[in-house]
Amino acid sequence: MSDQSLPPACSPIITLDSARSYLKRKARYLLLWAIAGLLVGVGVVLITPARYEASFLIKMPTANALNEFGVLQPHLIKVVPPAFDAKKLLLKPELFSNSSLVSCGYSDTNADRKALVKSIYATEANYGSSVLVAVRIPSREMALRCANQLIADVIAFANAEKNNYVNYSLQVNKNSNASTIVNTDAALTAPVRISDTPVSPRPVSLVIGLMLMGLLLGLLIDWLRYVYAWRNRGEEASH
Amino acid sequence: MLSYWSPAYLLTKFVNNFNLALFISITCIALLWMAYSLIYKHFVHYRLVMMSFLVVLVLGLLQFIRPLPLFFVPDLVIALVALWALVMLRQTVSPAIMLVAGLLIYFVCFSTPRLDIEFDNRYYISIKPFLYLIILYFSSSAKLTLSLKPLVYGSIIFYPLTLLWNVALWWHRDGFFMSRPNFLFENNFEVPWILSCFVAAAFIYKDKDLRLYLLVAISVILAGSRSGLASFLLISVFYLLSLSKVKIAIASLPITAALTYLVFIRGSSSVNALQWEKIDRVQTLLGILAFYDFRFSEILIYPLGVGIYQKIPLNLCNRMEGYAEWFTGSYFNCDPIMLQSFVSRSLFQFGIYVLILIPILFFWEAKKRMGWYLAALSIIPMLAASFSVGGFSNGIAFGGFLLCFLAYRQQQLSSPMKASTMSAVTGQGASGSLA
Repeated sequence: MSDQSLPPACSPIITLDSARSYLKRKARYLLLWAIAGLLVGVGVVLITPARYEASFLIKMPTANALNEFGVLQPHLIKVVPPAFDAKKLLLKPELFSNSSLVSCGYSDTNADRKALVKSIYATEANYGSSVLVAVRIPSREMALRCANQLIADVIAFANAEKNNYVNYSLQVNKNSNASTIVNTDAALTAPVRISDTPVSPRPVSLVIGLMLMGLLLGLLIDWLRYVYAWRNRGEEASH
Repeated sequence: MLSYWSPAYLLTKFVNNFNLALFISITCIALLWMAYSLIYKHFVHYRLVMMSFLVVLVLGLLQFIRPLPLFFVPDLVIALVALWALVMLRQTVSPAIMLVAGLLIYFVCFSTPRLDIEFDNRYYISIKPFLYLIILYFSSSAKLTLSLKPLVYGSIIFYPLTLLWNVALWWHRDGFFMSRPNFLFENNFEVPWILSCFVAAAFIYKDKDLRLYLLVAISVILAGSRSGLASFLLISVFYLLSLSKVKIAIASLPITAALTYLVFIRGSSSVNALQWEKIDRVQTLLGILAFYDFRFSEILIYPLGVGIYQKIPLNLCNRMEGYAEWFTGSYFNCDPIMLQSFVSRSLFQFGIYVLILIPILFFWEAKKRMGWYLAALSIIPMLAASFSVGGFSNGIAFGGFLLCFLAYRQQQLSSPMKASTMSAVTGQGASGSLA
């Protein structure tokens, strides 16, 4: 971009030739910056632990709905608890059980609880009837172990909520009995899927990205030096 | 059975839909008269113009019979122009190119990895604003030898006729009045280009011919694009202020007509302030704001958005049933492209700072080259489209914006006195033509 050999009064117009001659002249300097960026990228890839991803989909329990007077609606089925509540279970640091923390390779500290939240992606699916979860953990085995423990926690939580709801429904509807109402438990809809290769870090993107960033930084610094030299020359000339 | 296009058949249709047919007939006559007189005024080779018009009609017919995947064409043309501008480079290049390149590298290489179980996003569309900015930085002052006037005037004259042609084809085949006709792409994409052509004609070439304005107004009315209407009205304010009192009165008619037409054709959702939340683009924006819990502080927590690889939240995707399938071909592929508007998508993918920065960078480059008045006018079509469709990531809208730069440069160099003044101000050599 810049050309430090240009006198201050020279036109700042850039042509393809001036860009080419600049790149030719500064090739070694720019290459050094690119290599520096590349080395930083390689370093980051080497020191960043690889993470595998385990993902699963849990279908939430269902039961008959109650109307506003507490009367059981035999033809209306609702998701109890909604996937939104189950999702919250996985996105609040204070709600993880000890066994979940241990299975996912964390200890019971505030920092580790927050780290586990950051490694989990949870969202509702299928109009709130299911919860989709993905967790990123340093090894495949641990990812599977962590996923299984999270599944157990979510299913236990969801079923407990649903059972409370069903018990309450039966208590306030003495004419109904447990055998005639809808009462399905939460369940895993498909086996846990674990990525074959680490999903993070992405070595190629990281190395190329940092190499390009290095190159760009080199250009920027050279341009700043050029502007500084230009101004200094201007000031000297005015004195 | 009467054959299609036979006078008896058409007459029957005309009588059966009298009001509509009358409206279309009047529009058609007015259009043909204005088109004829403008062609007579601006073109010399009438046979060539008529041949071009026939080609345009045939293209419209082919696209109507069998829609072709033409969405790559604007980007292909922009890429060719960019390549040409790079080879013939002779201008100042803004240092902001480094910031844009940095953002491009950041979003491509350092965005959070996508979920392993998800489909790929259409990443190219997301990064297009950065690519367009880079192209702009080295082609904003390029000089084309080939005059752009035929393209500018040809687009303004032919576009409403192609819309009428499209309306006629729909009416003939399916027997109803198509309220959102288009030429080759989509009305929301095409109107920004026509408005850019109008900006070039009225403000860069300083041609205040009211017929041009009326043709553009009819295009906007026929196309039924809400974002197009908004930008048309904004440009009209600048346009009206530059006219005499009599011309202002005449030019006010199409504005009133455009608004009235929109109220009747597009129904309450277009202009009814009480039902604005029913507009799909508003719904997507509200959905993304819901992702941030409607709190500005939450938006600031994601200073650079969530990156280009993430899907939009499933609850929002589910709420907009059918959009994922429409935009990605899969019901379950919640690519942020389904949010349609650039504003919603960029707020989610790039964060609030980059969302604000992108229009500023486009405007800044325009201001540097053309001054704030023309910069503001040129950016209006693209800015308005960004609330509706791609906007700053839309090839046709950017093509129109770039056209204004190229037309301005051409116009500037065609006036030697002004060119010498400008070169003294900007340091750009008029003698450095790329021709």
